[in-house]
Amino acid sequence: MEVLEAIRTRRSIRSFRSGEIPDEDVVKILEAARWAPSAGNRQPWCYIYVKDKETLRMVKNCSPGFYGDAAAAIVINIRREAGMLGFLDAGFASQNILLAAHALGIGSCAIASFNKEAIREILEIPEEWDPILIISLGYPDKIPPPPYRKPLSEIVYLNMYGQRWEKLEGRTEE
Amino acid sequence: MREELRNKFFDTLLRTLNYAIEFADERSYASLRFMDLFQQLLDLQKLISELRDDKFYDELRNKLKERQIMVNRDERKKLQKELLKIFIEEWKKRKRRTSSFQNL
Repeated sequence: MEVLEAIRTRRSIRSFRSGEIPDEDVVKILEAARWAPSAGNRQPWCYIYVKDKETLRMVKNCSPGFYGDAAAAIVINIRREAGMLGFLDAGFASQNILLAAHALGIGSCAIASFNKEAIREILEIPEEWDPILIISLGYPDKIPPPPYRKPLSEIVYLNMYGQRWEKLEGRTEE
Repeated sequence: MREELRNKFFDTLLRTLNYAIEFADERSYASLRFMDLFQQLLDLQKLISELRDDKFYDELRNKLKERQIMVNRDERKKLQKELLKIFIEEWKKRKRRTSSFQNL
């Protein structure tokens, strides 16, 4: 799948059909995360791939934002001292994960609403790491329609804040 | 069937607690409402014959006794943490039991 197409067609999936994800595909997804940009090449991240059914069930129980019977999940952690740049790095890596999964036909959803301390306890994450995002993975059951996006003319300025770029006016979505 | 019911009940109760925790810092009644639901579900456990003998729920009930969750937000938060800890310990215990059974 071409990158721009993957970006445009990816959706947050909250309804999954049953089916285990081959380990080889998950490795490809994690490789995509590994190659995400990182400020100063610090790579302040680590990933916990949860595929054990009982552990996944408990992760889900402690994550109010986790919907659907996903086959697995990736818990993204950053080093406690990584600060804002750590969050940015994890954001880049997360997007790589979402796009790589989509390119492989695997649905995903980024989940920020979870009980951090409970997840730490369940997955035995040491204090120096903070779990900051969970990504559910599974084969999509229902694919939602494209959500509304603000037009470029509303969110892009040319050269300085507030200056409209005429090229974008009246532009229809591609 | 019994095992499925046991797991489903455990999950529903724990999810309800986590919903309550999610809203614990908000200036609304959401956290309190979920704690009320939590207590009602816990009462339901005694009426379900397949679950009636599960001592784990008595432990939760004992924790809830005489706690000022209706009026004191800090007390409620503290209690929620304690309850969550009990759930996680119980899950670990059950998991250990299951894996040692599978290794037999």
